[in-house]
Amino acid sequence: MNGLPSKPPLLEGRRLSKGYPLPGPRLLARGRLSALNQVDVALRAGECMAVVGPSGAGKSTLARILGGLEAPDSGQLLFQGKPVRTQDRAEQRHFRRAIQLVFQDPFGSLTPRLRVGAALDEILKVHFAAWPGPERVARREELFASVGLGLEISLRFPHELSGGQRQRVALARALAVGPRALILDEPTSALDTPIRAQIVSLLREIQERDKLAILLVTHDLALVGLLAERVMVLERGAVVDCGSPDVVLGGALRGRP
Amino acid sequence: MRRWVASSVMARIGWAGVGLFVTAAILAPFLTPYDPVVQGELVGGRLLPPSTLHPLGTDPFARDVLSRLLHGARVSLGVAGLAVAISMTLGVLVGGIAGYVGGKLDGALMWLVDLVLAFPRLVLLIVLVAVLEPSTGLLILALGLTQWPPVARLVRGEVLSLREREFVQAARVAGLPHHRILFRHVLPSTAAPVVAAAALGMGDTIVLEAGLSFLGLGVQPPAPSWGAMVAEGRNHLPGAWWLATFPGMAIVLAVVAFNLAGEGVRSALDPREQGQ
Amino acid sequence: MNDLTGSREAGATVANPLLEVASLRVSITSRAEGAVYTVVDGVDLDLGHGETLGLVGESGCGKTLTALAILGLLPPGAAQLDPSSSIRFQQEELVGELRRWRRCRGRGMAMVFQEPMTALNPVRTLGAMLEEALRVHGGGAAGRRREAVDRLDEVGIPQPRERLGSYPHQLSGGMRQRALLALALAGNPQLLVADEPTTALDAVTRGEILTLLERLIAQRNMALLLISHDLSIIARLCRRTSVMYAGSLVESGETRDVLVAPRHPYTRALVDTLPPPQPRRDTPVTVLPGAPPRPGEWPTGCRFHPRCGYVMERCISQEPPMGHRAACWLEVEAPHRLPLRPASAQPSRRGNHEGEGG
Repeated sequence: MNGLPSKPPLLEGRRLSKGYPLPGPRLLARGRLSALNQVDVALRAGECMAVVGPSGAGKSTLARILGGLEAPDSGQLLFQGKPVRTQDRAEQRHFRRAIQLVFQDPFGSLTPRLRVGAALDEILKVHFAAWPGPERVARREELFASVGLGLEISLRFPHELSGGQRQRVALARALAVGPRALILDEPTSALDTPIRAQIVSLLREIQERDKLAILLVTHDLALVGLLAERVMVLERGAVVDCGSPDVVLGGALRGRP
Repeated sequence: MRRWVASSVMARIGWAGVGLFVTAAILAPFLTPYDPVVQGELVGGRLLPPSTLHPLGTDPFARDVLSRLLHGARVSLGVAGLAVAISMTLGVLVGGIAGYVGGKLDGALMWLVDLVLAFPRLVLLIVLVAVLEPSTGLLILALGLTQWPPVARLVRGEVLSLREREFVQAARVAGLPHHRILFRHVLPSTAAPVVAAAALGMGDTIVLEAGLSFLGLGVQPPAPSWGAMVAEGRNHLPGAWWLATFPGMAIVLAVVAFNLAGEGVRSALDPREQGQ
Repeated sequence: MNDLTGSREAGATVANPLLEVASLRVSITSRAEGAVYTVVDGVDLDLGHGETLGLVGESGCGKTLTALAILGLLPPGAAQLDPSSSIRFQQEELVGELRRWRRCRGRGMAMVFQEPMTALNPVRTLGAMLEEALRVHGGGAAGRRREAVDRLDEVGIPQPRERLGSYPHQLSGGMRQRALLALALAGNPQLLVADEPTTALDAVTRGEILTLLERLIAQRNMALLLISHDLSIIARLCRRTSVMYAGSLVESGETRDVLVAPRHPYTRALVDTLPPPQPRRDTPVTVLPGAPPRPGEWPTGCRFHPRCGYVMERCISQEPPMGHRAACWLEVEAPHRLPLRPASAQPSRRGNHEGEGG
């Protein structure tokens, strides 16, 4: 921005730790389950990085922290090199517009009683209050087109859509605010294989077109191979490996079940 | 909405009954040839049994019972409807805010709910109405203000589970302000149980209003309220059976209709929420 | 995979059939619209003792309802089995014979579901559920307890004796699916119906459960009807595969043939959209646009024609009959185009629009 020799990463987490109270019968003697332990992660502008690991490795927790949905117990979240202070409303809003999170279950993440067009309008209205109505409608149509949906989709309710359409709507909603990065938490694991291929193709297109950074959280190694430039392996809340997919997953990719 | 109505035969009967009563109440002035309040021909017109001229007979003031019954539907359903509207609004607001905000505010609001619930409703109502001057406005307010706590509890429970759902988190990620998330994303999903509660609440409130009017604490004469009509008719029960019987039946039928309708909504929601 | 060495002409009748399903028809009643839709439209399946059959297709094609119908577990009021359907198990007709059907469940055939958490009773221990399921054999309480331990051991649950006291929420996803398997196998069924048994699991656990299933059906000589949207899972476990689209079978045959030389364009698309063995960022992705039609919105003619790359005039108006292997006019009209060539892999920017009408 101000001519620094090396640009800081778009989104960075330093020594992120997070634990949850363990469920147990006694209130006082409950231990804490460590979901993340001193994790360092950096997402550069425009790149696609994958976070992989078995379930329970802390992948989703990391996604939620980086997406600003949860605060870490300790550690620091930096956006373009500056710490994100979640208490500051203006700053939080700025952060929300730059970093968007897309959830695993597209059905669960769409408000059931809101037509998808209205849901999108609402976001545009909140973030671009100055826009006149027609401009908003035009933008909404442009967004739906950009994820491969026709205009007739606007008047549908989420339960009237197919799984692939729902995930496209979820993506359109994330793109509505003009983010710099998308955090995708298992974006395809609720979808059938043909629909998965559709979404992979769409994500490639979006990334190239909008120069978006993508943080892909998944256990699907094929998806990692198809999309990611870098991959980070998380196990029991700690980073165990990091590098290019070929190197890190070379064996694993070939030995898929 | 259609799904709730069409869920079962009983629910359909219930909704049809509700529709009938509401229509009768709205059209009462056009359906009745006699004035419900102004006294009729006192000589020879008092306490006439049902006939073609007066299908449900006349009362001690020579007023047509059918006319009074239909106008009574306006009063009884109107009072109950407004009271339920007050209690639903209050209940949804308190429950929604308590559940969504959580923490200390939740604790305080739920403490208030428990406090109101700790008093038997009828006693609370009688005290409220007896201490102050009885009037229809006061009656509505009193009925409404004693009914919201269970609604608040119901809505709070719904909101507590909705709050954790992904679509609410997605709305937060999209940067929507809290009031928008609560009113546009969370509360609409509680509509169905609230409608069920409202229909069931209508039944309760009609009975309570009739009871209070019976005791002379509700709608004041000469306004025709079903409860007051039963009270009047009680004194003439041996001779003029029609005076208390028809308003009594109206109360029972209205309550049954609202309860069937409410139960229908509830059971339509029960098996599976999504139509998929 | 070694199962594939067996050779049996596809479509040939089994000498000693375990399950024969003929013209299975299921309709659902939509409460919201008050309409009745056909969702399973004339499905024929047969399965011999110890045989493995995969049923593949996208969600919304009627696979799960087919499975539920076979077990007689269609949700009453919401879905109805057409009385003209025939489901014969061990050469006995089950349709209309509710008592016989009930006797069959558990001992004759059993089912495992996709989501093990919701399929297990959250307030009962594994031991309690398993011992109840084992009661069909009779025997004393102590014997049942020993048996329960053995069963948990059989499905690879470590420390089975301790685990008897566990509640479902105390188990990991993989362990729950194993527990569900143990429950399904309690009555020593001859047919196991598994509906997306690994979809809710991560890749590593998925592999383990598939290995376990493979071992169990071999050890018990049990027949398996495996339902999945993922051909790669079916390919690993099943000798024969049936492909389902919009309520009907579009292709049936030996898994090996179906995978290597699909005869129906839908099967071809399913094979093509499987992730490549060595995926990279520049690997082209084949896209099958659109989604299966919803019940009540099935197109005329061949139901796949709006998404089909090989569509011909005839496909739009006339429904193709089931041919030697596939229900497709290509088999009749243009056999020279068979087996289908892989669709030329499209660069990712093309063909990305959902081709769904209203």
